[in-house]
Amino acid sequence: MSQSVRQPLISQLSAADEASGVARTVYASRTSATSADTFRTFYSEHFAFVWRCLGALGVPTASQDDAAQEVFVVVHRRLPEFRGESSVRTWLYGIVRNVAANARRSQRRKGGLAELQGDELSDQPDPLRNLETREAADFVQRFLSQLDDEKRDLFVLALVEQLSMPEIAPVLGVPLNTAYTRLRALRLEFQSALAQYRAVPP
Amino acid sequence: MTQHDPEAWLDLTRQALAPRDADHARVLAALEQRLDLPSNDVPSELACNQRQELHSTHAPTSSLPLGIPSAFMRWALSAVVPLAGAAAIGLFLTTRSATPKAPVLRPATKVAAAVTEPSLPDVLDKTIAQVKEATEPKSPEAAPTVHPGKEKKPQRKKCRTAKGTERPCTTIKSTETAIASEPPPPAAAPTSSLSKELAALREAQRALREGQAAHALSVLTSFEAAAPGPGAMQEERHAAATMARCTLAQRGETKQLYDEFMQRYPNSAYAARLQRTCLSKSAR
Repeated sequence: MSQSVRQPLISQLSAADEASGVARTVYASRTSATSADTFRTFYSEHFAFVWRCLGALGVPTASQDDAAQEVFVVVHRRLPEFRGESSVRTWLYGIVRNVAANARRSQRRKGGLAELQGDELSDQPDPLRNLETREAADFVQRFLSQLDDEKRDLFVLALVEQLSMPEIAPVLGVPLNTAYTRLRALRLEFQSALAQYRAVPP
Repeated sequence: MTQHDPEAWLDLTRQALAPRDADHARVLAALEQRLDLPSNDVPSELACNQRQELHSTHAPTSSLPLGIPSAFMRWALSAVVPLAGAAAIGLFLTTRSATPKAPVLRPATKVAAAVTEPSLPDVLDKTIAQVKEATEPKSPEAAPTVHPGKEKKPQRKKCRTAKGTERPCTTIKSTETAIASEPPPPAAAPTSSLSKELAALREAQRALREGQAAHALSVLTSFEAAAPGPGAMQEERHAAATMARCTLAQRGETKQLYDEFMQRYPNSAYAARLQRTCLSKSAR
């Protein structure tokens, strides 16, 4: 695909993508049209990441299927434009974030309460472990719901998905040192919230 | 919770947020239908392999497996020629009235199938085993409906010449049924219902894409009969069935089919596609 063809497609990306620096990260190996096989490979590699991010970003379990589909529908449309100049996961996260925001808005409109993750952990053979996992997910979800969008992005990418700070800083649109400073502050905030939770269990 | 370490809590959160295999398969199946992706090559090949495997084990009159390289076929044929010759001579001597052509060919392919079966490449065996697990039909009657498709052309041709009919699976069905009555069929391996549901749905989608709405409907109906009750992809199956029915239905009936589906799944992602299939036909 030539640059002249690619350029208008890039301009169709959302403002949020532009702000996060995602729009210029185009996958080098996918310059041709997205084939079904390429898409399936991409799906297999990144489905877990998308699913976890959607959950962490507060998409209710009942809407998670639809939201994941939405993400990959966008991926299917945009994958040929991706040149791979930066991390594919940060590019993908830009899409996930927009879809998750839409899902949360939709949930608010319906007036439903967002379900907490960990409702269906019956795969866990150990009931105690199951309970712990559910409790942790419950706590982290509550903590995330109190954060603003920027902190939530940082938390999900750095602490849940464990991406490197050089990858995360462009997503946040801040210099690397600023991103590190914010992460330190966020860690302290999380520890403090956890200590408080431990001191006064609900 | 006994752990105070924030990292431990984050680990547990990651576990809680992680998708299960069913989530992966369910979303992929929905995406395949929604994006109208061509069917995955692997399952179709697997289905083909399974069919070949069924032939080599249950249908002695069938041809050699399609997936076998020509060099391998030559080797297999050269290995069985002496056996085939001996069998042919034996048959010729016992049934002098019979034409020499038929008895010579039949034992030859029979022995060839028997010889080649254990010598298949490991990969092929593995895929056959996988498919057997995933898509083994519940009854012999269900077998032809599970394995249709364009990759079957060589066998279709063979069946046509043998039977003079348009339905290639008729021969497969009859031979399989006949063979199944001789040795007891191997017990079906325990399979997940999701795999079967996925296989049925993929088969139906492929049939719909190829314009074989009746076959798509029969696949879905067979699956529902074999596994009644709600499945993980009930909505997808209903959407595919409605699409097939709309394709087959008379002009006036398609709107009712569409309305019934929408009543059941008002927020379905397949609404637009069904609208195109069902309502455009009713408007004409």
